[in-house]
Amino acid sequence: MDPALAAGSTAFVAPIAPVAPLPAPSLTPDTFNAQSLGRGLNAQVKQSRVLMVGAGGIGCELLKNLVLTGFGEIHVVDLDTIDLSNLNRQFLFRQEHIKKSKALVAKEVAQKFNPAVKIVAYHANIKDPRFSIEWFGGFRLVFNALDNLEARRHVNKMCLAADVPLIESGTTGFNGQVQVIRKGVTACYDCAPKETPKTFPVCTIRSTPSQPIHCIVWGKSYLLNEIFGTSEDESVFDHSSDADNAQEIEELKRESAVLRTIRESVGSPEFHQILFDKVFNTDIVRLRSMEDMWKSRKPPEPLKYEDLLERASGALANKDAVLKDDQRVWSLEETFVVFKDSLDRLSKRMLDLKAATNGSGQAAIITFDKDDDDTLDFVAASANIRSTLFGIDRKSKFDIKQMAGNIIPAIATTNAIVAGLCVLEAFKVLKGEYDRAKEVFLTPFAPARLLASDKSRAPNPDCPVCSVFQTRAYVDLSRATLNDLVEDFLKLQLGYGDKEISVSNEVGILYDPDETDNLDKKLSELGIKPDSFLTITDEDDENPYVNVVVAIQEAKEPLEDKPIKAVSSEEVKIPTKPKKTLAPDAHGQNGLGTENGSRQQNEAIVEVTPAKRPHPDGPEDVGAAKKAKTSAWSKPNKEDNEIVVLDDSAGGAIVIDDD
Amino acid sequence: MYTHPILPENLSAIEAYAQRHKTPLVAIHSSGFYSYFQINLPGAFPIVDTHPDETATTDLRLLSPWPELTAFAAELTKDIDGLDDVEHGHLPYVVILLHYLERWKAAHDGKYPATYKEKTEFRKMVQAAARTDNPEGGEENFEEAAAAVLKTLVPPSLPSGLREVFEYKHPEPVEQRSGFWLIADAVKQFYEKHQCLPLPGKLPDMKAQSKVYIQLQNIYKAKARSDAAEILQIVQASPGGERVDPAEVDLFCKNAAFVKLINATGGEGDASISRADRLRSAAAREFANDETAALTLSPLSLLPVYLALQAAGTRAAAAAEAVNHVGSSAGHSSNSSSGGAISADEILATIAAQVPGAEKNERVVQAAGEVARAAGGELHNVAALTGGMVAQEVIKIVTKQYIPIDNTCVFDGIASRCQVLRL
Repeated sequence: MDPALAAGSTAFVAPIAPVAPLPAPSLTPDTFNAQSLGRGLNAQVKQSRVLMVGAGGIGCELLKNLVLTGFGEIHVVDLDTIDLSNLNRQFLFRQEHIKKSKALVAKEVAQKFNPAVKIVAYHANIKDPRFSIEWFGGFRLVFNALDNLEARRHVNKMCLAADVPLIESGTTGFNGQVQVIRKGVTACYDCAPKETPKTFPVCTIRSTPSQPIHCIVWGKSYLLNEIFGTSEDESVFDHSSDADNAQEIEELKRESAVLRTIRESVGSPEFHQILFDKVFNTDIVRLRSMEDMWKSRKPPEPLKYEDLLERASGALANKDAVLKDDQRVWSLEETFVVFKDSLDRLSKRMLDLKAATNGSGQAAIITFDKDDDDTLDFVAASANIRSTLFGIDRKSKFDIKQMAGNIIPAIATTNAIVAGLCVLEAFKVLKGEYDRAKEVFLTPFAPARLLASDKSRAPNPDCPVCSVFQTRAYVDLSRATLNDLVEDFLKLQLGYGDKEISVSNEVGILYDPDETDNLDKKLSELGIKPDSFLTITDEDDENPYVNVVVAIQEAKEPLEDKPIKAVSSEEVKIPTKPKKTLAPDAHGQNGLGTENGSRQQNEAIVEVTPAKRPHPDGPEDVGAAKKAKTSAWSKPNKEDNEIVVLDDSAGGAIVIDDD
Repeated sequence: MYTHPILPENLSAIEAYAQRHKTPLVAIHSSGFYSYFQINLPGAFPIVDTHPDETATTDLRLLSPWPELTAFAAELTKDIDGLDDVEHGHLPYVVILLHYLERWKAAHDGKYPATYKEKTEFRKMVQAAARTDNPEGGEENFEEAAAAVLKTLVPPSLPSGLREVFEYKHPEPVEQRSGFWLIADAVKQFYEKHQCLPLPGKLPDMKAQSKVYIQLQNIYKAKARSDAAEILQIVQASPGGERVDPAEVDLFCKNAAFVKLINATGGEGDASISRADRLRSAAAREFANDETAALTLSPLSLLPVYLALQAAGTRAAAAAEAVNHVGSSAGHSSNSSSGGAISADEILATIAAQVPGAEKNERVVQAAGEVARAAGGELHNVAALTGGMVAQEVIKIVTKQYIPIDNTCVFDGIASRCQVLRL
């Protein structure tokens, strides 16, 4: 162990895993790691305390890689439990683990691969308040192995606030991507706008479907909810109505109201027929009467319950076989049988639920779950009946499960590739080689390449998340008022002085020069908690400061004189917004403007980095690593004496990484 | 599938087996930050279900319409100026283009617009025909028609992938060939007779009245069915054709323009000689490209990585064989036996024997140094990543879907980059 390296590379205390003595007299499990990585990097890996968020598809592969590579301490957070459908690719899990915590089982299984590493598992939501900025700050590196936008954004924000590098990864089917996110150095997760989940215009779903998915959304988000759930699931509908369809939307609201009254007759013998004739006959007849609507479309054909019941006698006799057949597209008669049967099952469950919750004030509701066959059968059958009326192709239950469950196909091979790439990027981050960090895309259907990589993008200067100036403040929440924040902390300590500013949180504006009612309130009364973020906007027209985000930290020890204090004792200098005239340059793909833009930001960040924590991957280090890079990868171990200059604000310290 | 390093005797046993049973072989080698895998297919490997890009599959046959399509378009447009705004604004763009193509031909000695200049002129003609005196101030269907001019006015031609299939000299007699080759032969006869491929039959979405769109869709579907039926007839008339599944014929017809033949020249003649030659010519090509790579901003070749890895593999195998007596060699293909003692100079010497001169290339020297440094050790993540890629290619081969790589994929973990080379 090189003491200088240990002190220089990390200030967080990490238990040091035993490193095999070298030159190795014989093979140890670590020989090849040391050989390929070089002793310096291998030692860094062994000391690293890293966080992995998500222990699913990528997570299982990644945890195995991290453990075998020997990362000293690995924390794993996942709120999910193991499901049967995970087992085909999440190889750390077996049949007997179903319903158990992913994080805990992953730890238990992966620990056996390498007893020398310490794994800490949390069966918890990463958004839980206990995972504070400070907690994030205790890691050398964070890996995202998540499956949803919301959690990705949260971790991105926390890592930017805690100034910890993040390796972000994702896969869909055969496609995948890996990206290194480092505050001020590379683009963050939110630098490029992300696609939001698809919504459909309400009239397309309710009146004029033209694709199978429209009917499936209708069955899942409208019909199922109106009859068994909590009324309309508004989120998937786009209600931005224009004048043309306002009348139709009114009409639809009336229809829903009638449907809710039908809900009351759940369990009665006529229930099936009432429901069927309402949605597949009365409503359809009304729609047909709107002649304007069908000028360029084929009008739907209403159906009668009794007619279909008669025709379906053959299919009824075959009920069990039909229900099991989820790969074939059912005939209309078979679909009807499934509709009837699933309605039987759901009605019975509803009555049981009502009996169980009677008087407790809880609502008896059934919500859609793709793995709940009763709801899936009901959605599949009603969607297919509706499709038939509108002349749309019916789909098999299997296909409908994919579409209704928003299932993104996930496959083991892609996860393995992406997880492997994550670790490669991690090596570069540990060495501070951000100029060599890559954004890698899998291009499995371009048989000339398979993998394509690109230089990491520079941060977007207009990014709402990472272009802001971030700082942290210790707050005594028992007494600090908004006035303390504005007058003392912002104006004096941060140096806003006489500038016109506004303060807002995710709910809205708390303070601006015209909105002073809140000043006397305590911050706690305004809903501000530890790890809340406040955004400070400079309202001046000339040379305004960039937006500042203040992360609120609970004061650990009583703050003597002031209720709010900066976490860092350094003097803070907030940069001003880049002049708009520079903007076209700064947006250039690889022009000089981008370089300069990110450079300015880098410098601003270095200035506030606390002196006590040397910054191994500040921008100066990138330069130094460049100078030393000839020796970094390509020369034999013996000559691997790279010199890395670490520039922290206390003055340059020279660290010699030798072997 | 096998991983390097491997004892020569084990390797030759595997290769002999693969050749006898016509089994695809995948060689995998991972060391340090580098890896490659190489697919050896037994003979030509045709793929029908290549999953081409959806938008590329549109084939409307506007320049070679068949009688039903021509009649349908003529009927709808016989009084095009007398149509009311709704009808005029809902003419499918296929019909619009067919109508104005007839007019163009009448004015140009019966010739279709062929050059770029003529096509842009034709596009202007279509644009000008849109009605602008309606409340919308234009017509969406005419915009669609104008946008489709350059893309769809292409005379039928034989795509290179299929040409390769047609020109392939099959080593086996007709009776022993697979269904694919029988169908390909039938499609070739069809092409020679009609000067076009069977119609895929798909009609893209377009602005139109539903009734008209469905009629048009049926015209395309009917033509596709009759083309497929004709080909099925040819297939069934040929020796061995009675065992071909009609569904296979349909699939071929739908994808005819995108059929791809991999490894067309492989599996013939003396493989070892041709492979050594291929390596040398690939090296000459790749190193020449690298000379100008700085100017063209293209990435540098990863061939040096391949050369260094496989040379180290050859050395390690030879060394292991020398150490182990014949008979006690089982189980020595694991990397721990490959020994860590192969120097960069030894690797370069092996490369020099294979590709004379390459050992002096600076990047080959660098790659050899890096391979020597890894000393046969594998990194977990690089091995896992390579395994993932191999698995995906194997899926493509087993399912005969998508286009597998041809034939070597080299991964450089230092640059996080892949290159596919034919070696």
